[in-house]
Amino acid sequence: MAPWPSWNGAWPENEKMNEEITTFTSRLIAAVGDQIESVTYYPHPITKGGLVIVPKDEVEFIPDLIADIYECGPPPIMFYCMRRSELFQLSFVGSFGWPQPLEEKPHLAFRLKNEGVLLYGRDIRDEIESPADVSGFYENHVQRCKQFVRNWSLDQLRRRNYRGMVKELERQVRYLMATALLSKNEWGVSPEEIPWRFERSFGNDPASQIGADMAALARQADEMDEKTSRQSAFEALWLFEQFLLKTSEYMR
Amino acid sequence: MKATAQDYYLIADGLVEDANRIREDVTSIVLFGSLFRGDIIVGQSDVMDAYVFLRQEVFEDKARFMNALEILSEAFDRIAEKAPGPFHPFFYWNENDPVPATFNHELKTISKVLLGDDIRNRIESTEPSRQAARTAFFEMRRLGAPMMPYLRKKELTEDECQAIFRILIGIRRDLPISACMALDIWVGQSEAIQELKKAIPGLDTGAIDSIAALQRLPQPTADPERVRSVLKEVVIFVEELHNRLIRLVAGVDHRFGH
Repeated sequence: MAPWPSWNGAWPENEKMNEEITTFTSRLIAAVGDQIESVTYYPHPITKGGLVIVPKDEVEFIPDLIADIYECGPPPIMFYCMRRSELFQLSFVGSFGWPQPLEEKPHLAFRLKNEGVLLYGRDIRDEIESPADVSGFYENHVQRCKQFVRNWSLDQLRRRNYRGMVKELERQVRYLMATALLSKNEWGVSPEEIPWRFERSFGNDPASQIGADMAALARQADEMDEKTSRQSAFEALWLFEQFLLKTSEYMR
Repeated sequence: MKATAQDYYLIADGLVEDANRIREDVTSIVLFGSLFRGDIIVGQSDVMDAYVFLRQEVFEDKARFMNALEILSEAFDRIAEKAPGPFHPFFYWNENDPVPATFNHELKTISKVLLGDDIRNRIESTEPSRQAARTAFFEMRRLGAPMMPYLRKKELTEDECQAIFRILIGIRRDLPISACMALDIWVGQSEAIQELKKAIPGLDTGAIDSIAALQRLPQPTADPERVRSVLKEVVIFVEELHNRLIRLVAGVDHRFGH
C-alpha cells in the first residue's frame, strides 16, 4: 500500500499543523504500520479537525494500539481509533461535556466523507455515511449548550476568565449557526462564511444581529480592562441565551 | 478539620440560601445524585448535582437575567470554596424546557425538591434527546483514550494516579447507565448494573466492584500498581461491553435511529 496517496481533500490552513500531522503519521506508520489499515484527516468548521485511525481486523485489543498512538506523539487534535465495523459511530449526533464544551460531531461525518484527506492505506471515505436525518441535530446541539455551556460559563466567571468566556461564547454561537445550516444541507461552510450563510439561509434578522453583536464583543475582548471584561462576559451570556431563544423554532 | 458528609449537606443548604435571594425568579431546585441517595463518599463524591429551574420571564428580561446570573455565580463561588471534594456548577434551566434524556430518569424519580414547587411531573425529554443519549456509551469509551498510555507507563506519578482514579469514579457512576441507555433501558445509577446483567447474560461486571473497592480504601491512590490494575480490568470490561453492545444493538439498528 502506498503510504502517501494523492491528497484531494481540505487541509487545515495552518502550515505548522499540516507538518505536525504528516510527521506524526510517518512516525505512526514506522512504529505500528503493520497494525494499521487506514489513517484519514478530517477538517472541521470550528476546530482544527482530527484523525481517524482504523486498525486492521486482526488487532484484538484496541487500547494497546491507542497507547502506541500516544507514544508516537499525536498533534493536539482529536483522534479516533476504531475498527471499520465501528465507523458508523462517527455519524452519531455526538455529545460533549464540561469541561470541554465543544463536540465535533455532527459535522465530522460530513467533512470526513466529503473533504477528508487520506494519509495512509485504505480509503474509508466512501464507507462513512452522512447522517440521513438531521432534523434533531440542532435541538441536540442547543440542549448540550444549555446543559454544559451555561455551567461552563459559571465556572469561567469564578476563574475570572472573562475575555476567554466572551470569545468562547461567540465561537459557540457560530457553531450553532453551522449546525442549523446542516438542516439546509449546507455542511461545507468555512468559519468566516458561517454568519452570512446563516443570514442568507434563515433570514432571521434578530439572531443574525445577536451573532454580529457577539462578534463585535469578541473582537474587543483583548483590549478590555478587568471591570469591562466582566460586564462583557455577562453581556455575552445574555446574548447567547437570546440567540438560543430566537432560534428555538429550528428545533423540531 | 476533617470533612464529613454533613459538609455536603451544608453546601446544598447554601445553594438554597442563595437562591432565596432571587426567590421570585426560581421555580424550583431539584437535587439528585449522591447527596439525594445518601451514598456520599467524603472527598470523592462531587457537588453540585442539582437543577435550578428559573422562570421563563428571567430569560426574556435582561435586568432580571443579569441579576439572577450574578447571584447564581456567587452561589457557585461559595460551592467551590466549601466543596470537600470535586465540584462542578449546578445546571440552571428554563422551567419550560425539556431536560436532557441522560438526566430525565434520575431527575424525575431519584431526586428531591430543595426549594419551590415540585415540577418533576412535568419534566420531559424529547425523542432526539433520547436518541443522543443512546449513543452516550460510545462517546464515553472514546473519551477514555487518553488513559491508555497509563496501562504500560513504567511508573505512575501521584497526579497520574489521581487522574486515573477520577476517571474510574466517573466510569462507575456513568458507564453502566450509558450502556443501559444504549439498550433503551432507562434506570438510575443504583439499578444500572443489575439491569445490564439481565440484558447481557454472562457479562462480568467485577471491574465495577473493583472500582468500588478502591474507593473504599483510606488512601485509594496510595498504591500505583493497584490503581493501574483496576484501570486494566476496567478497560477490558469496557471493551467487552462495547463489543457485546455492538452485537446486540448495532446489528439490529446500526444507525441508532438516525
